[in-house]
Amino acid sequence: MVHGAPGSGATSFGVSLLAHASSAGHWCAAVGFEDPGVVAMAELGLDLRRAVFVPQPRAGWADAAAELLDGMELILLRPPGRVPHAAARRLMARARERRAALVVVVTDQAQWPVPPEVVVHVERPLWQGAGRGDGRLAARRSEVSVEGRGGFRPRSASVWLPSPTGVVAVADERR
Amino acid sequence: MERVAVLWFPGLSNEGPRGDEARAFSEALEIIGEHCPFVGPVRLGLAALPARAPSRFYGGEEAVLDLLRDELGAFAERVGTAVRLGIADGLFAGVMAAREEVLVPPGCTPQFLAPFPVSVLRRAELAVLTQRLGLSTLGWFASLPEDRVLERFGNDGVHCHRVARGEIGDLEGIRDPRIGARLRCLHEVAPSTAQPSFFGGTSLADERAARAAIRLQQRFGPTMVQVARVRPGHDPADRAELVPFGSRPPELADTTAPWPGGLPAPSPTTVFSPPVPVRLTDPAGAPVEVSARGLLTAVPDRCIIAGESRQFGIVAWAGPWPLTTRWWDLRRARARLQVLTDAGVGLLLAAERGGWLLLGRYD
Repeated sequence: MVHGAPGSGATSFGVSLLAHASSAGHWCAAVGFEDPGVVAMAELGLDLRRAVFVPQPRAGWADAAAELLDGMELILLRPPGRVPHAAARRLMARARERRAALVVVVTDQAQWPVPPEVVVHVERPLWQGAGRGDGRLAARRSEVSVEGRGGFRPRSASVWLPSPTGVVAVADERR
Repeated sequence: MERVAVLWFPGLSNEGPRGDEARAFSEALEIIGEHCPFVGPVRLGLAALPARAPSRFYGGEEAVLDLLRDELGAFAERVGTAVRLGIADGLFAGVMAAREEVLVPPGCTPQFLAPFPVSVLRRAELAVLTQRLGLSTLGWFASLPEDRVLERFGNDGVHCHRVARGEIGDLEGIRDPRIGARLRCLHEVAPSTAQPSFFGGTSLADERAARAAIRLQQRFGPTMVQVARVRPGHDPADRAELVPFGSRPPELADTTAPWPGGLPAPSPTTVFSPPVPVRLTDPAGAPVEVSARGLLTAVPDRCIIAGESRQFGIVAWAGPWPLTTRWWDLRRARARLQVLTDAGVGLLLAAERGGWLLLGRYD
């Protein structure tokens, strides 16, 4: 799960995971991103030849994600509102069964009622480059913390989303 | 009456959310078709074929059933369904014979059907009425005189009556009129034929991905699954185009090359389509506009997005960058402005026709 408010960089973080998978030759899908910034996704390294978009699944979002888990290696899912417990469990089970990765991007952690394997919190975005009328939005650093179940060691870092050269990278790791 | 062999796959009779049942059923039809080419679907999970020719060819009806049972054994195990086979006179009796896994000898269909409850005809009203009359089985129902049946149960009652008596083989409603189309559409969009230009090469992963996408399109329509094309252009929304999966090969241009007059990377990860109206005001609450010379008329201080109750304070901004390339179309003259809100959120705005539009957000 990638958790972050709009504008925090959570979507960029999720897309960077897609980009990583697609550039390794894996197929991936973005489900529920109603207005995907395709250009930004390409800039973040997403190989559009191996990406499909389901921008408006409406009521069929869970079925769409389940179906795509059957053929794609990585699904980036933005669920509409709060997800029913059964639907969340079913999708996680499907992902495990199909050995596919399911990354849920949420603005509120309560949207996904089942504890995920890993939760990535993206917060406190800090843009560089824009002043009062000059420069431009050139680079963003957000605070990213990762926690997981079991023996997962929580970590946090300041991450470029993206850096001045356009890549997603750790700027400064702590702990 | 025509001898009909029926094959029933109980595990494939109800379509699940993923459509696996239709695909498996289609595969079963292919397996059967290799031996009995006149096999056809009746409804999902139920197939029928005229039994006379194959039983002559294979040496008897029993032999046909044995052959099909053998040929389908491995398939049924893999798919996880039972296979039930039966032969009788006419389709309805054949279905019942498959249910009971029996071979009803020619001419014995009325006797075979007699003990079944009237409800197997799938006429709720008829079942209730006959039950009330104490006619609980097809045999009792069949024994009624036809004119009485017509009087009490109407034309459809007479039709059912004739089926129960073994005079008509096909019970109205037993065939699913859509099943042919449902199975055909599985074939027509087989990835190997429908998507050649998209894939060029076809690795196993490509095929799997295409199948998943096509299944979704079959269930929800072609626009459900889309692929992106990117071309040079000025605004993020102009530069990207989503087209239904499989409709056209996506362009594989260098997607990230800078474009004269275009905004440099990073681009907004959310691009609103259509753009959302926004009010931009100065500290006094007066609207901020773009002057004829392409400058802001005041210092932007607050940003109010239509449909959102919150206002955002503006802590930094960049631009406006005028778009001069559309000078011939004054109505669409645009300048773009990046603003940074007090929540740390980056927004991309466009000045258009005196107002502002939210083009995108850097999510």
